[in-house]
Amino acid sequence: MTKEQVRFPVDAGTEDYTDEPGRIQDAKWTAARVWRKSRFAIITIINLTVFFIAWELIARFGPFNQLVFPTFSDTMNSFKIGWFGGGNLEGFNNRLLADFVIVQNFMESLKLYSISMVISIGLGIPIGLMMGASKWVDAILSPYVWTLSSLPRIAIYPILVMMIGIAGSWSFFGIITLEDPIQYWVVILTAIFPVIINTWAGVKTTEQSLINAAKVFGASRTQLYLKVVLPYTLPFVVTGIQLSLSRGLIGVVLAEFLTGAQRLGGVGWLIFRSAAVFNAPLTYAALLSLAIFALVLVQGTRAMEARIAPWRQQTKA
Amino acid sequence: MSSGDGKPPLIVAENLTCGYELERERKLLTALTGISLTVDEGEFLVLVGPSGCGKTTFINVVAGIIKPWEGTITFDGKPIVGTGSDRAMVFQDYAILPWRTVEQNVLLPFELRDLNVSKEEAKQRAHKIIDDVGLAGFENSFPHELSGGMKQRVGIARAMVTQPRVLLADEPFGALDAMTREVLQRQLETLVMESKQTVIFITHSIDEAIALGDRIAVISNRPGRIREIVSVDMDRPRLAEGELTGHPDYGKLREHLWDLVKDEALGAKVDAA
Repeated sequence: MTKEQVRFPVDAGTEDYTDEPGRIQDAKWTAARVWRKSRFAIITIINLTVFFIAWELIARFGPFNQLVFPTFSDTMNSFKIGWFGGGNLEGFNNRLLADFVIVQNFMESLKLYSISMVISIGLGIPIGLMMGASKWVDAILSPYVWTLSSLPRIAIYPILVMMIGIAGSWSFFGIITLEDPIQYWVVILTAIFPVIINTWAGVKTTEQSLINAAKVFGASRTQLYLKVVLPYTLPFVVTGIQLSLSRGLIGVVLAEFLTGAQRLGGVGWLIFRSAAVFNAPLTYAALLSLAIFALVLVQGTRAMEARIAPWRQQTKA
Repeated sequence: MSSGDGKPPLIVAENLTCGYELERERKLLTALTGISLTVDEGEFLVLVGPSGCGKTTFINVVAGIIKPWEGTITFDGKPIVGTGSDRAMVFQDYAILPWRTVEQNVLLPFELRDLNVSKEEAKQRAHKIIDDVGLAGFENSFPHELSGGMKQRVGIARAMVTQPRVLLADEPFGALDAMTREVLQRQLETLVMESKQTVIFITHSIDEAIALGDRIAVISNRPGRIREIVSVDMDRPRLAEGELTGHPDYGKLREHLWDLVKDEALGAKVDAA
């Protein structure tokens, strides 16, 4: 028997496999092809144009008072002044509206959001991992985790107010000062649980056959976690972070609705206050800013998931 | 191919009883009982039996991931305690890591154990075995880009790369389509003939058992006992055209095995109902 015969040939049907890529032809730029390639973009542009024109027309001639339903053009004007400044406020509803007012509030919200998210993710992942890995930690923490995660978080707000108070600030080693610490509590408590629970689920659902295989090939307990459980859990963590990012955004708006003071209170506060003083264009402009931010964020994390765990895309499809 | 040459058998199981705990129902289940069995070096032993009869449990005991409740099992004269690089396994559901490339999967055994093999040598051996199982050119592919048959080739390469003394195969071709299955059977036969690899192989298929086994152990319903050990005295290679089904002993052997298995399979059904 020759050596050659011992070799496994590749699967039937792929015997003529080579490294050569498939034939590539230059396709002609026909109208049909342009349509096929970019129909999503074209449809979206038409869709949004129609939407904004309809908005303008309904606001101008529709049944609603412009005091509560502003035109698209007024909204865009507020948007421009709030973001880029230099607006002419003459003869315009200028309650709360000032140059850069949206940017300033946006930065305020961004600080609250990013610090809270870093804390939520930074604490949530290790807590989830420990709960998944150790029956003891799981038994001790799970009553609190499951109760708090199913409880409408807003219900514990009065307790937080009693314990922390609404105003004040916490300073950490003079490096960073958190104004209104209660806002951070609200955001963290809304955002942390998806991270914990998804991480926990990833560890718990690690395929037994993969664990067995690693054991057979000699994995120690540490190696089992580092080489099998953690990589298996990673996409679950990403899903948890995704959920947590959108929950955190709810938390930010909620916190600012509840505790926004008479100063820069964040985008949520701006939406709430501007509506309270009947500056509808500003309310809509702030809301639009928030929507764009949320959209970019969610699309970004989806791209992140596709890069981190390409094998999951296959199983999902 | 029993131990006529005077060498002691590689694996000796004596009066082995073993099972596992059903966590949800809080009871212990005896998977197999009173198993006495020897496996010689270079032998291809096939285990056949109904589902849930403890074949996998037995193979896991040999692998060292399950401890026997009663009885003894020795490997090369020493009791089996834990896993070892001298025993490798191929799994029914491949159990290869989806986030690793083919090459990284095959290198896993070298990463998990210190086998005194340099990185370069490990790589060399991985490439050689990847080539041998027919995956040359796919070293950097990820499992989700491969077909089932190719995934199992990765599983076989991972098991063979450390040159274990015994290859444990837990229904390795069970999840494959009939055509791929036949191709892989032939290749395994050739590979084993060449390397004189000791193999313990689980299957549900009588034809697969006759095609591959030197001996076939028929296991009874749970708790599994050995009903009979049948020797297959056919020349290899058996899977070349018409060799197997055209063999004068084939029909009789198949009928005999089917009789043994049929009772057990029917028994299992009644038990389950």
